[in-house]
Amino acid sequence: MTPLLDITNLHVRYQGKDILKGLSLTLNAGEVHAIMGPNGSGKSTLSLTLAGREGYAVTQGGARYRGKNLLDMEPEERAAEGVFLGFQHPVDIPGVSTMNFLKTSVNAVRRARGEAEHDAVGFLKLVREKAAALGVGEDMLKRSLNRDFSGGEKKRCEILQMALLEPRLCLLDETDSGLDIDALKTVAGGINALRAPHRGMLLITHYQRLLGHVRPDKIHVLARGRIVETGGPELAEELEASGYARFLKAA
Amino acid sequence: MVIAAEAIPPYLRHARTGPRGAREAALRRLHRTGLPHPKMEDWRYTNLAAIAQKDWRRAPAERNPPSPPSLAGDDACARLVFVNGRHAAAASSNHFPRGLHVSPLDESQVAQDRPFESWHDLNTALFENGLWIRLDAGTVIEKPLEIVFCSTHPAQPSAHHARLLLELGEKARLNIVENHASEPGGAARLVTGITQTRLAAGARLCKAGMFRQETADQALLHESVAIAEAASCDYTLLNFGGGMLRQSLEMVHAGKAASSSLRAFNLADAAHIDLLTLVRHEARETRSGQDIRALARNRGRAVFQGRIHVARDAQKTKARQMHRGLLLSAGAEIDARPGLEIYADDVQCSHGSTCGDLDEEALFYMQSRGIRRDAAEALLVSAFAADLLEEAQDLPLRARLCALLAERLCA
Repeated sequence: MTPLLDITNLHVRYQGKDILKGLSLTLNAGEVHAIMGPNGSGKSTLSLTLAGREGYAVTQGGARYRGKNLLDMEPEERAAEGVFLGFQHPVDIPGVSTMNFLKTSVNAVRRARGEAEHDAVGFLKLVREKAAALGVGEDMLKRSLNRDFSGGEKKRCEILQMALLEPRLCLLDETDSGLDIDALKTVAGGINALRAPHRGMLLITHYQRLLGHVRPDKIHVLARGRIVETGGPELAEELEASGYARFLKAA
Repeated sequence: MVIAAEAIPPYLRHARTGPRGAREAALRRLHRTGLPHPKMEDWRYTNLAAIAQKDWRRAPAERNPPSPPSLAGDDACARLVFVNGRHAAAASSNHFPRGLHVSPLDESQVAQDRPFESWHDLNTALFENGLWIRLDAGTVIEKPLEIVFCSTHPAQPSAHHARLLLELGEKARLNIVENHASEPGGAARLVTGITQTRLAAGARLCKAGMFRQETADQALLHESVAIAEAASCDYTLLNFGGGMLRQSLEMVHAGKAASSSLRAFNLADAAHIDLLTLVRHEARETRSGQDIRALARNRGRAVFQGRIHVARDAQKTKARQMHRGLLLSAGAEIDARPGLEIYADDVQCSHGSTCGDLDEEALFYMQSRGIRRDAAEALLVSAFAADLLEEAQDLPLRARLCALLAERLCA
């Protein structure tokens, strides 16, 4: 079976600095993996490289998504192919209502996938249904995207987008940051609801707290640009107890 | 005129017929001072030399004026049409809602000892068929009054000058949609326009002004709004320049708790747009807010000069000014010169100015959601404008103006 995501010996340079130095990882459909690591280990570089942000230069190695070269695609092609990045810091876009943005995005992806666009009424119904499950109210849908949203609102809005875009590969970058305990539960519920045999998830996180709610199949420790250890869910607890010091030395 | 014909500069020759009274005084003064020039502080960015050198003709009075575009259609309470600077009675409404009075403007009503800028004298000396619009105290008219200024395309370079005096009585409320449009083609046009607005205590004016010009147009526009106690002015300006537009707006907060709010969008595609605002706070507890946006692309140039002046007695004043520029081409230019002059000690004043390209992070965010790069750029550009009008809930014909702005942005 072709893996959903196959990263081999990935080297990435950003602003003249080598950040990822030979990262390898395989994620199969149906699996949830967590990547944990200290600040500066390259977590965000990995997610932004996989999503196609400009400025992240791949100097060696590569990443294949369902057998295709992911790194050759434009960011919007990756989205159309089913890659979704949940941002650590979602960007606010004054002047574009959340609802309008959702519609533009979902229809763009549907067009690219050769599916029919949603009609206005049907889409409204769909959004309301998914939004309600995530505690995203009408008021948020009317407001400009992410503008003056609280940390929790931003992350719930990210998960709402993920639910609407129905991706195959979900990259969730520090989705737990800035969340209080109730918001964390709501967001985790949204993620769990999307776990499916055809879908894979990569949870990129500094802390163990999200992993208490979304139980990963595997945990990878990223330090100094490489995966230095892979283990089961129990690894998260060890990290929570003793920190990353052991891996920083090893790397 | 006692000035010798040969001494009259070219741009004043179309005044040769010889005005009298206040008009003559204005013309004499202008002859003495001349038009503003780039060495003057407020005229650094706009050069009137080409205008001064041209021998303008008086724009012809159209016997059968073209039917100018209407923004409001049946939604207007009445319509006033100016063709080539002159009130065209045949194209205008002749019935007005109760309490609204429209009559010819007499030159004695617009006499100024010292104009805000010297070019005002050109308008004072030469306007024809100006109008005096009055709304009685306590009258509230919901449907907007539409004022249309249109210019026909001239065979020769021609000039026309429009003048309005607008007065709202105590606690009167009026909505106005002002629409300036030019017929494309023809020779160069010099258009001047001055509106003097006076809002009595507790009055409220809500106004939208839209300026659509052609490349041959050179326009000088000025509006001064005097705001009495507890009166307010809400003003939205949409400038889609074509040639050159210099527009000045003076907001005078003369009475306690007077307030104003200004939103302006300057779209400089290939045009030169120079917007100057002078916001004066002369009384206690007055409020003003300015949200100015400029988008320049191709070879367009957008200038914003804004001054807030707070007099010594204007304690507890709150004044805010924000300018945002979006620069989309290498050949385009945006200049901003905000300024504060504060003589009171218990005030809250702020100003800020930003200028830049489209936000790369926002573009990437949209792309990562499947939106193509070009579509993401177009969405950000229209959002930049839509965000300005989002707050303007009282704006007359809001939906239509938003649509028009979006259409212009995509052109």
